[in-house]
Amino acid sequence: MPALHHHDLQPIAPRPRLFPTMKFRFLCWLLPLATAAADPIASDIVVYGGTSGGVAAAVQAARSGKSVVLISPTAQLGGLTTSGLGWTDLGNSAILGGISREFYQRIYQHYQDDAAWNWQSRASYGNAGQGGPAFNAGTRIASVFEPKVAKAVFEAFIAEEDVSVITGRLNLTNGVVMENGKISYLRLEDGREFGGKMFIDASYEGDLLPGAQVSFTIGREANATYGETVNGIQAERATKNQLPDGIDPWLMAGDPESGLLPGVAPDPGGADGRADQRLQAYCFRMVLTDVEANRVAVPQPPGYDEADYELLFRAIEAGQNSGFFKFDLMPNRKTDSNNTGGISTDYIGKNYGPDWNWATLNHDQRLALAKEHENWQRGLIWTLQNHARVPETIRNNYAAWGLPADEFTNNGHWPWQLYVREARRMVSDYVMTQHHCNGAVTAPDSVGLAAYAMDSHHVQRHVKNGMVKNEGDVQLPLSGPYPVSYRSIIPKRGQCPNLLVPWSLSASHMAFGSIRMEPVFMTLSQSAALAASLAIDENLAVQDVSYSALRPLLSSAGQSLGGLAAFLPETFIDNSDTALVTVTGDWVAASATAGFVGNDYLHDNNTNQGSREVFFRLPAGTSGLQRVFLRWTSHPNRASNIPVEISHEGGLSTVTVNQQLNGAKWNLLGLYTFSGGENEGVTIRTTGANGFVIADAIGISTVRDGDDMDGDGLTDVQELALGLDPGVANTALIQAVKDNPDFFSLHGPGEIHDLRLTPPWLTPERRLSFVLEKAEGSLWQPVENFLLDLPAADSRSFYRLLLETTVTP
Amino acid sequence: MKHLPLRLSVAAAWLATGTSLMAAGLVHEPFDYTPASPLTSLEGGTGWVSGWFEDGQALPPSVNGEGLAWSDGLGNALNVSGLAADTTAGATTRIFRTMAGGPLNDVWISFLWRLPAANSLFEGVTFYNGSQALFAVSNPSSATAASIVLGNSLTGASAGTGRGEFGTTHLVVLRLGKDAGPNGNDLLEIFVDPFLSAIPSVPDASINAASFGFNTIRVAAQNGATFVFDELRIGAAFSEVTPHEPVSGDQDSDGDGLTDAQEVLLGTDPFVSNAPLFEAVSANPQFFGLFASGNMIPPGKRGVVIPRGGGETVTLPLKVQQSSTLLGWPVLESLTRRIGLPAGKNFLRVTLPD
Repeated sequence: MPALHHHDLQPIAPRPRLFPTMKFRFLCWLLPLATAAADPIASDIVVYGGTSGGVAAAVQAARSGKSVVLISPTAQLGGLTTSGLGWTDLGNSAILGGISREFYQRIYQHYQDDAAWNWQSRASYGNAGQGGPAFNAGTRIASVFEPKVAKAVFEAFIAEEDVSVITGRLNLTNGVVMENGKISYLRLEDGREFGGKMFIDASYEGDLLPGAQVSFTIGREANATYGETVNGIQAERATKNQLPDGIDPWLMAGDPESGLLPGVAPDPGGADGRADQRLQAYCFRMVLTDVEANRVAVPQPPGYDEADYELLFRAIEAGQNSGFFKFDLMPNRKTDSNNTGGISTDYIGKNYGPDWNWATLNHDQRLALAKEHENWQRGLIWTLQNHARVPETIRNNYAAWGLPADEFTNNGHWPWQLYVREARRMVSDYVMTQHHCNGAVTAPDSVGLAAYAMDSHHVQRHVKNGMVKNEGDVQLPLSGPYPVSYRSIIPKRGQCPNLLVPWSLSASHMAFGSIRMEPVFMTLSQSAALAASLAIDENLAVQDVSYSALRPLLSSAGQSLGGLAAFLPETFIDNSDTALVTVTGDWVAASATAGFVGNDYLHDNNTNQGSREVFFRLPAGTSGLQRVFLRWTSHPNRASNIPVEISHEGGLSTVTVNQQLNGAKWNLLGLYTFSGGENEGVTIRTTGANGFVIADAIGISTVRDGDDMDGDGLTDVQELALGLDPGVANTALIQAVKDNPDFFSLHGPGEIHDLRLTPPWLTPERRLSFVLEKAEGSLWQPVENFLLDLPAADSRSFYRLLLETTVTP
Repeated sequence: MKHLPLRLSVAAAWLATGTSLMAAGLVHEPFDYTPASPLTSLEGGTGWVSGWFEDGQALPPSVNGEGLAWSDGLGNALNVSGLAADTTAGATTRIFRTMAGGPLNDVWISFLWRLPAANSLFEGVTFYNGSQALFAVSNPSSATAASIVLGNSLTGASAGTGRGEFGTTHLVVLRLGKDAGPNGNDLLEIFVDPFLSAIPSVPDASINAASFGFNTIRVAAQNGATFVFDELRIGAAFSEVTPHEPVSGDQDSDGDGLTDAQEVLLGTDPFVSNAPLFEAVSANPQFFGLFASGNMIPPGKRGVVIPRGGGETVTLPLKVQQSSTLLGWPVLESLTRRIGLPAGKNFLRVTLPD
């Protein structure tokens, strides 16, 4: 008996062919748009923020074939990248991909032309950049550049993709208009409205977050919040860019009755490691030049008051005689002059108050406060060059520098954009922390790499041991580039489903201090645009975008995402976690060999082996397929034959590890399925060990359906089913199987000729109609239209169309 | 001793069976010279600008008394002719030769390699673009291991193959892919003793750099150590640098269900059973975007699949049924359509819309 498939037919109501289901749905979908879209200008993607990231996002949106509008509250595009930050905080050029790489390569190309060197020769510049060459001939990347050159590159990007740019300021009171839980449109202060399917907040302030009802924070978390060690108030650790000892804090030196100097607090406001809501300091990245023909002198700014520089004078008297700002040289004898030293360009403690901070100010208030920063820095230059309380040697050292006449020509040769180092930070389902920066845990869903050191500028000035001191500066190096999670640039699940936030992303204060660099901003913003495009194409909330679908798009766009590291631990259990770690026998805490996580590691002292072991229990609720990692510090005195047992749902598995090698990294023990049982975990045994045994930490990360750890096209789960190693690429084998399905009595999709039958319907003339269609690309084209006259029938007649599966060829 | 008659018979066999001859490669040096002659100024082979030349700072290698020969594990014998180069001398030997049409990119390179004894000296071949050394295949000069090492002359990095034995002739095959590596770099892969039945896919090592395009080769040995080098070929395809008479691959040496030749194509070892893997592949065709013949309807879809059979068309039967009670469904009309299958299509799949 043949198996049958059928369509049931409606007995009475004819189904007009002119209104197939798809079209009807389309009309339904259009209906609400038709009522709401009367005023706002509609685009697929709306990018808010004319920053470097904003440009990258808008350009990528256009390249993805989406209509896009870039709304910039500033007349100039490019943010800090076009406002003096030309000594790029790159960290590692390997993180550059896609548009960010294009940007720095175009800069490189610009300076290959001798005509680009109008104030000095190419040869006289040398080739020093920050942490690497200024002009890398191998990668054709330049990491130093003049503001006007960066501006020209961004403008070229915009012009090439024909991006619509709107200059206008978001109405910060009610400018994010929500409908049904998502952003419908943005309203500017001047009343213009811009609707879209997806929105990208590329502002330095995260100005869309409050209106979009997305969780965010401002200030420093306590160390305890994310298990960090350098977050929160940091008075003791603040040794860099510190004021010299001996600076009297009182208005009248030595007289507490006179009150404290302006901007100096009596204490840091809490113990080290505690949370606060203060912001790290801002400044302008000044561009200076000593080329006389291109130099504009810096006059005393309006409202100058030498009392504002009392701390400067006292710092000089206490011994600071240099480092009032940097002279990092960009081409053509121009500087990127950033903060350095105890008193410098950072306007410490001036971007927040008891009941306000930079983010809560309106646009005009921000402009006014930025002007205060500018005037203070102009006054700093003038004071260093002219004031009688500044020693002549210092005055002479700074005398040669002025503003470049050929930069910022519509702004008094002063940079347009204040360096807003940090404002709002989203709090999402995934928070980037210090642990990501130091490699202890790794985001599995990379949308870009960060590589700059954890870098927090000072936050406040306070009295310490009777002296004025700065507080908050933390500079910690990284072990290398690390991935930034897709989930850190989208709101929590359940919050705004059509917003991406590539700058004010979900990160702790310390992690943000590393991520917040302009090249990373460009990268994350481009990835945000690609994710937005995918979400539009698949009609998804940003929280529902599949990373396995997104990653190929990111890769195709040239993004540098990191490789296998993307599948390193998402969580770890350190030897210090007494709740989860059971130590049997005497183990010694040590920190002599670098590369451990937490504060130390344990070793067995190479004695009493067999009786000593350390059990790392998995956190409650850990179940399903997991990658299990082990970390140690390596040394020639370590054992090379350490038995490590993994207790999992399927029983006990033993892996032998050699701790003489591969220290200071996560080593994959394997993929195991866990039931969530209390006895599941990892035991480091010492039985038969031929050297010291180290117990530092275990790491775990969940194996998700789409994960492809080795990037060979088969998911980890599929590779396990085939008996392959999910950590070793089998690209050639997989391709060979696809190319030779006949080896396995299988068939490829190319062997199939596809047709389909439409559902039948009754015409008004009571004829049965259906169409046989063939596939042509992604479309279906008619092959034959069937039209059958039906005999007279009862009032209730049903018809169905059969396809027989057992047929004679 | 080479087997010239075999080479002639191979060519004859190709002609006789209609098998197409391998396309000629870009460069070939069989060292078809007089034994014991210094290589300097010798101009044999094809694809060269001129003869071998010295840099004036070392001795030239000479022509070995015998050529090298090599067969893969399945018995495919590489076509060889002429003799070989031998670096044995009383002091460091070094010789260069420049190819026509350089710098060459997107090419395959092959040569035969034999080191007679353990040493920690450099012996190998280095590829240049002009005077710039780019990459080398050599014996490690820091150890006495027999390992064949792929060295990146531009970065100083090297990648060991873990392959190589003293006293054994090896076939070394290199594949240079322009912009095929990380970050758009050129990718150079090395395959040691590959099976000749199929294009090798899993390299023993690889390196990458911004540009590996080359035009000159250097053969050298430190302190005049012995290194025998032969049958240098450069071509656009694997087949061009590995001409051979194919042997039958129909046998299944390990009994895992796939023939030796099939396993070479897959990159699995024809002499080690992979039965569990092959069974798993057959059971999970969807992992590879493939279909079993009885399971070509995607999940959630409804439809029929009709195999081609012997002809150019297949028959699609349709029936229209009518019912007023929904209990019985008499046929109102039967329809058939002959559907032509385009070339290469073996199945007709007719589905119903979602």
